[in-house]
Amino acid sequence: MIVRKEPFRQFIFGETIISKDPLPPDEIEKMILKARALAESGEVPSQDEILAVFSRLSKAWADPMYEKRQEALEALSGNSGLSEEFIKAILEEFFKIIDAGYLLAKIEGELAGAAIQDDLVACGKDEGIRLIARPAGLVLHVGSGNVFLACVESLINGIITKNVNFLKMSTDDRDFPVIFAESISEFDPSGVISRRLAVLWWRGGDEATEGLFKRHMDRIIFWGGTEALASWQKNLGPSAVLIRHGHKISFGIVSRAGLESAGLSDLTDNIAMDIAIWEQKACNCPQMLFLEDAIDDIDVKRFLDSLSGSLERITAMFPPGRRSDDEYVEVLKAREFARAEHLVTGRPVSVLGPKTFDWTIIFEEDSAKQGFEPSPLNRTIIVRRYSSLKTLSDLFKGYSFYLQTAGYCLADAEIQEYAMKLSAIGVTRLCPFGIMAIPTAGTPHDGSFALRDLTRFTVIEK
Amino acid sequence: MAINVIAPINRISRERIVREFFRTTSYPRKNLVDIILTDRPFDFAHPWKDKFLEAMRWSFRHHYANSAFYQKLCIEKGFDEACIGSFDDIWDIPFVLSDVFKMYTIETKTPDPLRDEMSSSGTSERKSKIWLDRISGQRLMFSLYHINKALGLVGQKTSNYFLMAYNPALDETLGTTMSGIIMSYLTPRKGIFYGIDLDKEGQVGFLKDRSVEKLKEFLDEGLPIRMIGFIHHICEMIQSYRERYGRVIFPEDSYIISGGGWKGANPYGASFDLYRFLAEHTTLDPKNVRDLYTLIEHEIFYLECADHNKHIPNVAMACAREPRTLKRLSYGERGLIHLYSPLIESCPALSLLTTDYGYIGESCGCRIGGPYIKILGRAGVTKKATCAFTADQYVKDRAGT
Repeated sequence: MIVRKEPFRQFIFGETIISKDPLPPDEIEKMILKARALAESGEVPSQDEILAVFSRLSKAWADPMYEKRQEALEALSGNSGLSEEFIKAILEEFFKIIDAGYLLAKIEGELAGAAIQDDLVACGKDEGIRLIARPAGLVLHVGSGNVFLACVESLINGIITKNVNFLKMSTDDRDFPVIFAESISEFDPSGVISRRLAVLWWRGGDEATEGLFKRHMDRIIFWGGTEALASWQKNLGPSAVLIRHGHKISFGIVSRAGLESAGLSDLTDNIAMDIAIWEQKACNCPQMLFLEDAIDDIDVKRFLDSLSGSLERITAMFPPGRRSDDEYVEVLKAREFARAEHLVTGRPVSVLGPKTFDWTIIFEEDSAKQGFEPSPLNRTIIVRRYSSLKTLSDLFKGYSFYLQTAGYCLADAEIQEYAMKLSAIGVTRLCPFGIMAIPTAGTPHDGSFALRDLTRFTVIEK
Repeated sequence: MAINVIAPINRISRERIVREFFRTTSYPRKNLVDIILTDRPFDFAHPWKDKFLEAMRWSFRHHYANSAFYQKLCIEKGFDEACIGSFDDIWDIPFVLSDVFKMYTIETKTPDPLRDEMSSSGTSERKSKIWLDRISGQRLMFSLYHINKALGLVGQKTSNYFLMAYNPALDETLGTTMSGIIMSYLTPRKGIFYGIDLDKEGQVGFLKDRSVEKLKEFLDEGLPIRMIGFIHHICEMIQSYRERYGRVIFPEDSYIISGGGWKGANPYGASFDLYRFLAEHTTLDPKNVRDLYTLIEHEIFYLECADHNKHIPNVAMACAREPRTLKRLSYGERGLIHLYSPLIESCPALSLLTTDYGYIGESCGCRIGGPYIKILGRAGVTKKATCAFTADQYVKDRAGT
């Protein structure tokens, strides 16, 4: 864990404060009580007011010369572990996910219509029953350091559902969330959003501080690992609902019919993008790839050659991020275990990839090999064969809680059958390769709609 | 701590082999490998390089011819005997990653039908297992004896031995147990006690109370004491003794020789300062506390001198490698420790890349001089800041924790 000793910035209801230490618990409590009073005042900004701020914000972030964008690039190049080229590419796209049109589509998709946030709307066929969506109240977003956008996107969800939001920054990234909050403030002169927003940092596990949030929050959105999650699950107050986004695993499937109908080079470029993006540290990046047994050996070889080429190209374009020695050793172990398995058992196993561990394909040709195993990440993909959809779904028995996205290359006629089977075993999203880490606006994440989780629905019956 | 109790199939023969060796401290020479085994284990003067090169060439030829695994590995890497033209080519001999021995038992065929199974303690994860033939075992004992002698640990004073390792009656295959037994022959031995044994309920574990009482008995006897093995158990015992009887007043010529995968299971935490602990609880001179680095697949003793540097004997070579490129690093640069030795014939570990971090020091300031290894820790599964389900979580889930 990197704990910096130099002063760091926090953003509290429209103001940036710089300090060496986190806020003491008594100040945090005062801040929470102030937020509670604001939430209970019933004064909520309109959807138009919120989206107007995002409209201005999005235009600013679309400009590569925008000061805050440049500041974000510099900060993230230092602390995210990702390559500068990759961060630039992410920031190039960032304005799209804060665009008012995109956010409106998200609200419409997740809350079944945009009007429900500001007005009573009829529910279903019975016109006598109407609904209105209200903010849950006080929301804490607990950020993780692996995907710097995740906690900011979570914060945006909290904002567009009109909540009063707190964000706990990860120790690995104490810059981007504050930069973003300051940017909001810049385009929000009347404080529609910024006076309902605090971006803070304290050392994870600080019982006094975390106890206050557990007691006073209405929602806690958790992003991160299992140990921290266990701590947040304890001693929650009566109003606090914990929404957890813990460890998940994603994978890819290529059927024979899908491969026949796909352009090979485009397909493997898309798979390589899914593998390289976020260095596989995001839950929706594939760790394993399953090729249908029916694909003949020549086509498998062509596929692997093409995937190698795609990974090589994407690595030239987006060099790997910073890795720890342990991470290199994990990839080394995975490669050497695969080689040893081949040499000892005679099972056909191939290890492809440069000596520098920039990327690795471990192809275990024997479909009799059962079970799934996580890859050591960092652009390492384990490729196996599967004989049928049933055997594929059987591999994940006992792990349904951890399943998330299945990227696919299937024939159109196969998608329904795969979706029915894989959704039944716990997969929460199926999508074509290339967008595994880029969910569509208005769709659920980890099996539920984020905006609904942050919303309290009031029903009015006649 | 629970292990399967394994029947001691050939305990008597193992004990006898050790005893027989120490009767003469010599063994029958067999082939070119034996030319590097002398009574001067830290002598690197000319013609050591030539001899070591010859021994490694012989070893490579042997493993290439008799281990299908190693031969295929070398073919994959495009390496054969012709690639070992000069001393510096030794660094390029294809490696086997030490953790691979945790997954598979990999043998090299030898003419000797007498083979002993040896395994690591497995304190951190899976156990490594190898088969050791007689000639390899004799070489290792010869090497061990002379390394200890050069470092001042062979003596004539009768001593009591405290082996903080498994009683061989439970599992004689454990490397820490066998190392301890062999080291108990470095002086005349009066008593020997195993700290890990069956308790009253028949469960295998660290017998702290019994160890404390035995320590009291040994101290009352007044003979030098040698404690060998898992250091955290040694510390726990000393702490309990202190609470019960006061500071441990060690007789002169007593030693603690730590070794055996203890760091992963250290209950005292990463910041634990062994020397401060011992100074507080005992009278033992820090110079008489020696850590030992050895692996079951590569049982060369890298034993600390009085200045606490683990000397590389002339039956081995070592370097550190950069984890990203596996490039050989210079003295003082941190990387993965890579070990080379031709001594073992029954297991293709002549070039062994470990998953331990460390660096190679150029020359120790002690009278022995020469290069040494500093071990800085074991590469682990990174606790990644990630929401992706990772290997560490998978392992925990499979273990049901």
